[in-house]
Amino acid sequence: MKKFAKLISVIIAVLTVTLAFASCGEESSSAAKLLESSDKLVVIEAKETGGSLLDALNSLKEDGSLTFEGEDSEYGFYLNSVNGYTPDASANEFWAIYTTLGEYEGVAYSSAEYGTYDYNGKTCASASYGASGLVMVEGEIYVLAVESY
Amino acid sequence: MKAKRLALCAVTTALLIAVQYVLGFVSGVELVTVFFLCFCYVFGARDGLLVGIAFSLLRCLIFGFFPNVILLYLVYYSLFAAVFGFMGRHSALLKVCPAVTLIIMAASGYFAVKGIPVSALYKTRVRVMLWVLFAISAVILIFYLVSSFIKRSENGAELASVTSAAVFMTVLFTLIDDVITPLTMGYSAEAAAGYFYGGFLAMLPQTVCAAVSVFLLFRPLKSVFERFERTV
Repeated sequence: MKKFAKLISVIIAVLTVTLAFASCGEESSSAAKLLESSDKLVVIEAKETGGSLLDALNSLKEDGSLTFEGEDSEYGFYLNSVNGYTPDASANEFWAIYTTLGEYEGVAYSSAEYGTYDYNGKTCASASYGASGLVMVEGEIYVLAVESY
Repeated sequence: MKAKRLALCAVTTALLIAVQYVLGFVSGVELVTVFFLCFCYVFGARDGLLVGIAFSLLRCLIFGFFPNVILLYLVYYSLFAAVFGFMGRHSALLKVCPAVTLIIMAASGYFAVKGIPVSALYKTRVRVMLWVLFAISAVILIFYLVSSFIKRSENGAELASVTSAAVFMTVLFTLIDDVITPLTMGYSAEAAAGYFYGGFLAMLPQTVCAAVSVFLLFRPLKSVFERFERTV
């Protein structure tokens, strides 16, 4: 009886650890897939709908897939540096956000009139919001690129 | 114009630029509005116009030369100087408070109920800010009515009127930008509409902060400027 109890305990422990690792794996894989990551370009694809681009960036940062720093502003979260690259202010550089997400649920999240960025044959339009205001929608592409004005 | 008065305009311009530079990184502080408002109110539209134009042009040395921003500042601060300069000289203008406040209440209430097509992540924040603006406007209106008809306090009515005008002007700043930027950038009607709705994110906190800043700081700053006015 004791052996049976021990066996059950071991099975439960193994199952618990396996489930814990499995759920950890789901979290760490995050709702976003990193397609490209360099010091001047980051491309992300949303794997599921929900949350903001900032949430996805935070998730990828926790994974160790990329690094970024920024601050809240009146217009949303402003990216100061990504993957260690801080834009050269004297050259009017900044981290721009582009996305394939256009109009979604009656709200325009980007406009090609503000600028476009082509990635692998897909045209991404300049985002109308910062990272904290962009909704992640499954299948859509989000590009962070260093631009100058 | 006296040399002393000209010097005062120059110092005020320098102070406005310094205040905007120092507090530019702190969202929610509208000291430029209340500081310039008091100056125009005490010294009049002419001096206000001079400072407004000098401020609009000289601030570019720090913040950069962007044609649409220069145009926006020139139009807005000239209008601002005219409104508060005349308010300071003609007490009859102080009676527009109820009308201005009712317009702001109607607009903020309408958009709060109807909703604004902004990012789903900002909808709640924008709606809450619109109701806050509605409530602040209601408080200003009640304060004006109590000051005018129950307490018979000219100071209270003046404070309510100036605060309501400051709220209106802060909203107007964004509305002028909603016209100038799409025109200078050549936006389509669709992109201009997106720019208009996106502007609410910055306008609402600015407006609420302008109301609070002016309500709290108008009287002390006005008395400081009045002391200067007697000497120049």
